[in-house]
Amino acid sequence: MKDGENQENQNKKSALPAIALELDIFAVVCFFLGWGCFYSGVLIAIGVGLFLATAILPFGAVITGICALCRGKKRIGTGGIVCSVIAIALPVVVVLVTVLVFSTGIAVIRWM
Amino acid sequence: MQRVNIKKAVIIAVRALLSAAVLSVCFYVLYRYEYLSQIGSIDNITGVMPVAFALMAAGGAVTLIWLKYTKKSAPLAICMAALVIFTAALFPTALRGNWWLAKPDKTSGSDGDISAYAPFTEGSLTAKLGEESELKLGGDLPVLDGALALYPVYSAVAEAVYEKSAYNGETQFTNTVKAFNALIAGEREVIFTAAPSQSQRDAAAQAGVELKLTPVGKEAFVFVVGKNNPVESITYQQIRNVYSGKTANWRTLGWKDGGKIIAFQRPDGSGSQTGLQGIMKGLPIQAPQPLPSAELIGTNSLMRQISVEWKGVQPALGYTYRFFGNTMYPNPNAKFLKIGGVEPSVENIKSGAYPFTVNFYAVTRGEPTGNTKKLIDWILSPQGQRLIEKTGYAPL
Repeated sequence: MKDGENQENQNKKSALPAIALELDIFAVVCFFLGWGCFYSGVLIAIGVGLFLATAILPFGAVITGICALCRGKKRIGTGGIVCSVIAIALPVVVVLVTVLVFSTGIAVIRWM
Repeated sequence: MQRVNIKKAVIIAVRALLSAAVLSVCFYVLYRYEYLSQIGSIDNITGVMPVAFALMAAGGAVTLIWLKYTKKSAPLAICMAALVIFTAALFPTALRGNWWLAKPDKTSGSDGDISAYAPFTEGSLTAKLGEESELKLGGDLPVLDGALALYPVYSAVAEAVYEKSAYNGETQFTNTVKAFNALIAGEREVIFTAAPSQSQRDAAAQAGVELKLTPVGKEAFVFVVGKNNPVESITYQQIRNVYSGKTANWRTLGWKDGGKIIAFQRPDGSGSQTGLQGIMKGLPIQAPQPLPSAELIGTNSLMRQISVEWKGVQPALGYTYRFFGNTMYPNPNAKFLKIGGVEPSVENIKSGAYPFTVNFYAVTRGEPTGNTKKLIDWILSPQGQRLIEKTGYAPL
């Protein structure tokens, strides 16, 4: 009975890669909701909270992604590895692109 | 059994104390930089970054304090340690919002033509005393220099006091930064500027030069916007919020359709940048974002930049000294903002009702002597102060 349970636990895939990716998605959602709150003119306090979440969640995604990768292929599977890598790479790429776009001033044109 | 429980309780108490200490430091830092009191004025993601970084550093540290260290938790521990180091190291960058790879443009365009204020020239705009000066200097005349906005002052002083026959171009104009360098190098006897910046004080101290600052008049430090900007008045705190990066949208200041605030800055060491630093009082000034178009940067003086239109609005905010903005380089498409409802009029400067009233100084190397002392004493006399007022500045 105990052996069966262990086998079941080993076959059970870790949820960490999915959580990592979800954190990235939540960050994007929070970003747009944050903008919406600011432009509503009345939900500014919520907007600040959402922007705060936008800044923090990608770090959570990267950490969760790294922790997932550390569990090994057996625990997370090939799909889990792909999810984890995407969850780690996505914030890094977005930050790099944002810095480049702002540094060249393109974002000011688009967002003003 | 009881010993084990006591040990556990002690460990928990130590962890709780350490966590409280970490959180106290985090919230003190946020309080120190006004993020706690001005949280409602943050309206952009760059402005929220210092809060996020401080919370992440504290959160990471608290996690490390409470983490049960096993082989399984090693990746999490390493990630948390990296998070604490990363966020703490980047916190100063977040405070200044200096994420840009390109060097921010802090130029204000050309200095403009001030030859119209040159002394002893036909049709000069220099203020006239209108009576015989009580002091006339000949022979070895002190060489004068200073801020652009104060050129009309020392030009008028030279025309009133210097013998025309002895005058040989002793009124120089470079700018505040170069004038301080020239004074420290001993190439000028008196320079007329706002209070020196910390770096200028340091440069003087390093060269072994004692700067003697003698207040000779009063001026208002003003904030300027485009004429079509519906915002008429701004508060001291709102200015601090804008230039510390918390507020980046005109909407937060009451102009719904104004878009992003293009907050111009001046080069470090210039009189007006030192004025802003005085208002910010130790609060880090946000690094300006590199702008996309020369239209926004402007190619002429700061007063022209202010009224540049961008997508149907005039989104710029800048600062200068009142005389510069309303007499030397008036721009019909720009206006001064009231501060807390008080406008920068001569009456409000004299009475001190306008909050950003500053002295301007005759700066010398140590105690003035000879003709330099006579000149400064005369500027402080009733006749000298009348000339200051005639120039357009407020007397002491």
